[in-house]
Amino acid sequence: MKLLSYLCGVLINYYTNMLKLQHISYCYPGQVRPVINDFSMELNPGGIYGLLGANGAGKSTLLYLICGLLKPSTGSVSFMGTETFLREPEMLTEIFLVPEEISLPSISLEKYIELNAPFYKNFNREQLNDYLTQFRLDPSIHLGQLSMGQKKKAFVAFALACNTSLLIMDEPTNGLDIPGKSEFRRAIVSAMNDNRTIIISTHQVRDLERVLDHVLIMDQQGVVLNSSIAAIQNRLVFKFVQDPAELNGALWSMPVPGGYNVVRLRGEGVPETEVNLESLFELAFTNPQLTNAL
Amino acid sequence: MNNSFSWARVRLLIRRYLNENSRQLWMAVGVVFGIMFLLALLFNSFDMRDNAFGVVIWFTFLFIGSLAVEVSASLTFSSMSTKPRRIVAMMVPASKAEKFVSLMLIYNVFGPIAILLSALAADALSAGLHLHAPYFFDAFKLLFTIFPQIDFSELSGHWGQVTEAIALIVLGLASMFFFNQSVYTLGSALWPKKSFIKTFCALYVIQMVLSILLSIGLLNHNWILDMLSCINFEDVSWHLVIWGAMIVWYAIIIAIFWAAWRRYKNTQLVQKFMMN
Repeated sequence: MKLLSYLCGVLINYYTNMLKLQHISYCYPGQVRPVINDFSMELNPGGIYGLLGANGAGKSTLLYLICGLLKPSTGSVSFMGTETFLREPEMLTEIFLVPEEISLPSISLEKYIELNAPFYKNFNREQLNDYLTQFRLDPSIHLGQLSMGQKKKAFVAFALACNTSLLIMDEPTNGLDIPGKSEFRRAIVSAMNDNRTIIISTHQVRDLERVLDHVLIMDQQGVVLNSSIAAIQNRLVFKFVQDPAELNGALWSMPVPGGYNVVRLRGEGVPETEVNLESLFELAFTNPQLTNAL
Repeated sequence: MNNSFSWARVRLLIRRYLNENSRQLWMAVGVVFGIMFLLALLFNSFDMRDNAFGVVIWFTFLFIGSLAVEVSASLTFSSMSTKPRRIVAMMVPASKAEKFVSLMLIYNVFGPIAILLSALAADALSAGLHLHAPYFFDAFKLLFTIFPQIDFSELSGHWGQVTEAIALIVLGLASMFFFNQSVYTLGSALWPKKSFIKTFCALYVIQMVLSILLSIGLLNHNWILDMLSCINFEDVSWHLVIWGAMIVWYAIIIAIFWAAWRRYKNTQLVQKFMMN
């Protein structure tokens, strides 16, 4: 009987979207204007999603709603078929949130691992050691003696080693120094596999431009753009031009020191370019019909 | 791992909490020990056990102990006092019930035990320094002095009443302890930050409002007095009244604990009283 219910669960999860947000609205207590209004989104397993949005678009709120830390005023958020606000243990072992502001106890990292790892069934100590090496952190460090950036690195290393299906990061590169940012990128890429989904909310798009394989651009009403980087590269080209004459036919352009950033439709035979997330972000809001077509 | 209640996870949560907050918890126990030790040292120095001050000493000890126990209960949900701490506490893979039970055990069971032990230790240590028996042991000695003086043959026909009286005293004292615990636990669930002060003030305001309402009610509505005058107190079964009151009192305590659980269960990252 147990086996049957387990198999049913596996099948249900397989045929359901991993994460489903249906018509959710959320309004903070004491405020009249909802931060998120009738928002819907579905995510399938696998990939690194970059969550982009203007200030006040509700990115952090959305992440908290996904984790079940907030209860939507209307609508529902489900992870593998379970309502996230219930915060059931089985679900929490599969979701890890790295918040923008991290609170770590004043104990040694070893002790922290010993106390927290038993809650995560897929935790891997060897992987943690690898990530700590990548972040140039010694496992014998004391968390109380670390700088904010080092604490963030230690927490990200632990989060990655927990091997949860869904890893959510809110502004993970804030507070990291320049080498820390590239160490972070390397760690994220090395942690990826087909069963894992990572959602990264960030303003620092330059830090993550080459890491993301999906882009989610949102406003309060919902997703303005949800597309893979490959699909974007297939349809659009991102260029820097110096001659104003080259702006003709551009979908979007913006003056920058020494020239213009331009986005064009990609014609046949035109080589792929790297996605400029800043340009894509602006394009998504100025030309929503086109971005929907992506 | 599944979603049903697991004592194994409760043990993990308790272990995790005690280790991660060991410094603060030891400091709190140390403060209680220190205050108790200073008090006991002071009282032992003057050796006031054989006069009326003995009672004062006992009440002072009891007051400090109760205060410490209330503070302990008011810290039950201190892990929810700031947004980053709330995120950590809420994202730990354990059910809401398991987290609630673990915090209740730490602050409402282990806390009072630790406070009692530190008070006993402080008393014993200070008495040891003066080479006489500590006050707590005196209390036990007093019990053993009283018992031999009771003429049990006189009580032989009244054992029912004696055991009932003892049960009422024990339940009455326990109810005071549990009531304090429940109120400060609810206060902690409502206001995880500066909970003790806020709950204390709220209790004071409630007490004032109730007193005023009762006074106004008694002054302006003679029906209350009329209703009371209708009761023939000679016909009242005091046995029933006392036990009925005790049951109602415990029901109130359970309801307050239940309210704390409901509040904790429905806690969100941002909600009323938790805007930081």
